[in-house]
Amino acid sequence: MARIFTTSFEFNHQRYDAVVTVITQNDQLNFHIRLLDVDFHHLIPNGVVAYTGTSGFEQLEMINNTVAQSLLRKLGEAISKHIVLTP
Amino acid sequence: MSHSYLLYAEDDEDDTDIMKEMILSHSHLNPLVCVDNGFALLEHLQQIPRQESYPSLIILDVRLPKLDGIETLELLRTDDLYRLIPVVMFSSKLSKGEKERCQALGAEVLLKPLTYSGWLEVFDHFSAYIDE
Repeated sequence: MARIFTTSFEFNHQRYDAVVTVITQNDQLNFHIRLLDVDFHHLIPNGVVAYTGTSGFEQLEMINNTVAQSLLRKLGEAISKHIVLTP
Repeated sequence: MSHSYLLYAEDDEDDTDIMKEMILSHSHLNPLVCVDNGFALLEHLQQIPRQESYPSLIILDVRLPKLDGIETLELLRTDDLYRLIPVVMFSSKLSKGEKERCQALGAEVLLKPLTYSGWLEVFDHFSAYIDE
């Protein structure tokens, strides 16, 4: 089963549009999210987010948030060791 | 909307106006819905609650803002519910590669006419999809 739908979301006080393709095959859910605004292309290559899993897209957000935040925290800690602030 | 209708994605107002005039002069049912980009076309489709109420033909300009005609066609052909809706790609200019891509996706390709008689021919073709 494959369906497409459009959706909008707010980010940095602006509204953006995306086209989502969801393909279900066996127990797998395949999400393909295309962000139409080129402003995002420096954050997300080609404005495309793809995710395959057995649970819904909320799960991806949870995983990504946790991983990204953890990674950034670790990076921040690692970088701060090399930086000396002088008055 | 219970009667059959054409869904036309076109960002050129002149072309939209010609199509509207043609339709209104030949049909009392006003079977034409116009949107100005591919994203709006997808939004329109997803608001239709029943498959029986889908347009009988989608006419897509190739050069469209936001989501162009070929990208829109590719998405339509991916969706299980939209993939069977007939699509005509309607453009004033199309590369050989674009034409082949559209045909491979099962769309018919028509060039925009330059004359009134040409528009009449095109309209005759489209009107075959409208039930009176």
